[in-house]
Amino acid sequence: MTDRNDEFTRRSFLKALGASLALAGLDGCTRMPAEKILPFVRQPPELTPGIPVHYATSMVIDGYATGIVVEAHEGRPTKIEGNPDHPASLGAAGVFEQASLLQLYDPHRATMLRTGRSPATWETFAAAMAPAKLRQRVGVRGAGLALLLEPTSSPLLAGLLARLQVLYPDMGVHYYAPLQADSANEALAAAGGTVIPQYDIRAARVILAMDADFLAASPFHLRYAREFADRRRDPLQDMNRLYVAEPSYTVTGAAADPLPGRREPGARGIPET
Amino acid sequence: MAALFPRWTNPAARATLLALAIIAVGVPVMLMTWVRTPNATGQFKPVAQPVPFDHRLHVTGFNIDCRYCHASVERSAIAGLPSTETCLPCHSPVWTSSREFAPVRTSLATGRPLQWNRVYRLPGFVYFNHAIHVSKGVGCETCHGRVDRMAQVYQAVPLAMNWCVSCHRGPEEHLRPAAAITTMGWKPPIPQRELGRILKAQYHVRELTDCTTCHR
Repeated sequence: MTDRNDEFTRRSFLKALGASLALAGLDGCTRMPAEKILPFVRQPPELTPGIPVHYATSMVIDGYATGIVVEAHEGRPTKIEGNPDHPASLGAAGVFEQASLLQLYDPHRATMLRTGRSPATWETFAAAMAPAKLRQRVGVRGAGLALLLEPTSSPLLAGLLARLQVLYPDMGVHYYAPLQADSANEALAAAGGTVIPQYDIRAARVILAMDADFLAASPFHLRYAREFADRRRDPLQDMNRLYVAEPSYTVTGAAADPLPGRREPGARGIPET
Repeated sequence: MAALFPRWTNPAARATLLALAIIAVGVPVMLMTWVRTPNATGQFKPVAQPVPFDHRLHVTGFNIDCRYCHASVERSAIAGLPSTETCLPCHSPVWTSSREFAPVRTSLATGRPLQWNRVYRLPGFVYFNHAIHVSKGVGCETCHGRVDRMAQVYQAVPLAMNWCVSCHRGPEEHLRPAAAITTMGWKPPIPQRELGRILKAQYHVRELTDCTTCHR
């Protein structure tokens, strides 16, 4: 067996290791660069440099808002937690809420408007969207106009849409979310319901979840997880019991109780039919 | 058999060995001494600023408290530099047409901040909080020196770790009453060590020498 030319041998690995260690030592010899301090021109009263500001906002996933509290240092958000006063959060924040912070620092995040591939300004956007100008392109009643939105439950957005629909009655409005649970919505619609169910998990003594990851991936799941856990704290009290039927592993499935008569931990309440 | 090396190589070899030993010890000692000199720490080097702000005039002449401009020093980790607007209450009638005041006028007119040069620089791996030091009885003067005598502000202390730790090990040498925090040229009314011991108990000052106190 011969050594290939490009092979990273043990010897060359140790050489590189030693060299990088030596260079890392030199790293400490650099001088600190000269720094500037830029105070405010007009100091906002609510902002003191060095003290983080917490503000309440919400994050919308598939049209369902969760109240969150964001910690910001000198105007830069650094941490997201749940808002204890918000019914969908009760102080908790899920993985998407936590990770949404990184979106703000994503280098691919859009920093300007574009038309096609060229940069544009809000002024040109406003000029192009002026009703007199836009009607030439989409017709007087807006038949050629289509809006693509994420699902929303925002009253503000609904109000804006209503005003747009007065201007362009034939305008098309479309909603799209990549991970929306369409099957559950279709099932609800088939049952003749346009309402959104909100469960009181505290009241349930036995819960049967059929392909419903209500502890981690449904609307209000933070609230449900809190309510579910609240009824399991004291084994002497009336604890709830969770049975799950699911086609793939979920958080809710992991929290399920074994089926009656099956004691092995592997069963996890998943019926094996 | 003739000697392989001539006789003079003996002292030459000894001298070489001695020189190597001196270099091996001397060079690190020299380097470690050098980093402790003001040349390396940046101590006593006046830092030029965009506005020729004179602390002597403002502190001694007008008796303005440090906290009028460095307003967040009691609440925040950062003492804070004054916003451009802070200058206005006094400076709207005075000096506004002078050349020295031009950067301030520009900042006000354009809304762009003044760019001051930092004088006290700590490495990124050191955490420092002004508020806790001030509230535990460490005066401005203890670390910043006689600012009231500085035409251009300079770094009055080495800011080396042994300097920090010397006070963290024996804080009673440096404590002063809360009323004298911003006083320049303060003298203890009773011997400092006695006063320090009293204040240390009164302000619940601990000797925080854990690594994680500053290196968080």
